[in-house]
Amino acid sequence: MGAVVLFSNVTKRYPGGITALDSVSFDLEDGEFLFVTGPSGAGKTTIIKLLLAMERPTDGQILVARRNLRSLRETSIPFLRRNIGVIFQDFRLIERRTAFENIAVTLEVLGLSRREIKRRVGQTLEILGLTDVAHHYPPMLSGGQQQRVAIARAVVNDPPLLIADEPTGSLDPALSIDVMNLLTEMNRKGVTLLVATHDAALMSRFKARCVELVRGVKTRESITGEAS
Amino acid sequence: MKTLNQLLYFLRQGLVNLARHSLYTTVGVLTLAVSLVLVGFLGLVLWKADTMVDRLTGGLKLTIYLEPDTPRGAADELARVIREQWREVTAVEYHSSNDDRARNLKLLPTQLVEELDPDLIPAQPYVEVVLDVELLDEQRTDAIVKWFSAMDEVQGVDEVLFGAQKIGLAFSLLRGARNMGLFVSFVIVLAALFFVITTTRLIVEARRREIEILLLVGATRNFVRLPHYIEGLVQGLAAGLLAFLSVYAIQRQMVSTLRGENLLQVPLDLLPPGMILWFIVGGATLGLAGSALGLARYLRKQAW
Repeated sequence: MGAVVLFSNVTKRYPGGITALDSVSFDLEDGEFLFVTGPSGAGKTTIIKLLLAMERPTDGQILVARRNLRSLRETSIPFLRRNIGVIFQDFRLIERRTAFENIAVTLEVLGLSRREIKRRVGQTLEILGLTDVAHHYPPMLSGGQQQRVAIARAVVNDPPLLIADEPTGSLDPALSIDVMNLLTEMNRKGVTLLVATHDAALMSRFKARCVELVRGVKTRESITGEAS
Repeated sequence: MKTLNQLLYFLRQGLVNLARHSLYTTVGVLTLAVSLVLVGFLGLVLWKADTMVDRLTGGLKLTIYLEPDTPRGAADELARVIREQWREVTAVEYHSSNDDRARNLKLLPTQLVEELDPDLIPAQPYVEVVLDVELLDEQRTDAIVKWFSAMDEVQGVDEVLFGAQKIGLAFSLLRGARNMGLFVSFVIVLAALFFVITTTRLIVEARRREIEILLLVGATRNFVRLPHYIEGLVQGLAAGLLAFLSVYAIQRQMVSTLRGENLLQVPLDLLPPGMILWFIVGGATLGLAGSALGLARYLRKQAW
């Protein structure tokens, strides 16, 4: 088992001198489940942005699936992202597209045929219990359903790495557990999972390695949900 | 297979977007169509401007009046020199004193002619020189005016009425028409392009979130661009077709009106091959360029 993600002394400074991350190091093994936690401003979202190559590190090395993100060419960024499923707190669904179409976007980017897209989206909708709302537009769906659509979009192409940024931030506790159960189910099937959250209560319910950050500095590494 | 699937996706997405923004699409097509028709007509007018100027000025003719006793041979020699000297000269025609008299008589009222002894009408032989407006430029015009002005000194030549003002007027009319036409065409094309760019920007702004999501799931910039390009292309082609149909309808209506007025001998061709080509290629180019420019700025600013 090799490291899917490797953060080595990563520093990210924004113009104006704000240090979002200060020499942070951690790794994420193939098939592992990792929480990144900390209060607001700890640097969780910066880690997600760096992993998606939305930002470049000021210092240090980031490897994702053996790609060095510091030297990654802009034209290679789309191909990196095709290997990473991403889920956000605000779902980021396209309002003018149905649930089916929102999920299909990931496969359309890959250039799959309509028939293949229909088959794979249909399968994913079924797994996530969304078949009945396949042709509903996001505003017609509940928060939990919207997040399920976002998860479906993230996993429909079977990416080796799944990243979630506060995936339960907009959901009530019951739905939050429901969504986390879905994510851990994906992880059990072999997907490497990184979840950024500040919800300590939620983390305590799931067994995973946890990297804790405070104001951009890694303060602790632990295992959550040991009791469960 | 993958490329074909993506091409089909771009086409589908482009058409879906056009339908989704039907108001922008309609206004865009109409703006482009009006611009194409206006620029097309201006182009046609410029193309024919020389003929128009020629007609406006009654043709560019110089008249060289000869002494009454000038032998025909001397007149022919003069004609030969003029022909050899100036490539702008398309015809040199000799007219006798009798021709001149006949022409002068025509200018007088009938009643006066009946009472007048024809021999009292002044007449002298003359040589008429016709110039081709198309071959004229400013330097050549000046040289021609100077050369013919000096002809008064030539033996046997009485007077040269070359209408220098007429040549100058023709030239400045032609130049003015060309400059004005080019300027107006430029402004119209620029306005149409600006409109398409602005429309594309508005549409792209409305789709900002969609584009962000596409980039997040691994879309390349071309994947984002191509449906927009197809939109621009389809808009441009639709505008070209609309412009063609409009001009065709106008031409049909005008021909029918002229037939009613028994004026069919008036040449009327609003759709020469150049015009049709302009509608198709011009429309497609304007639509494509507008959407490309509108999107380029957005994508330049858009972070990965």
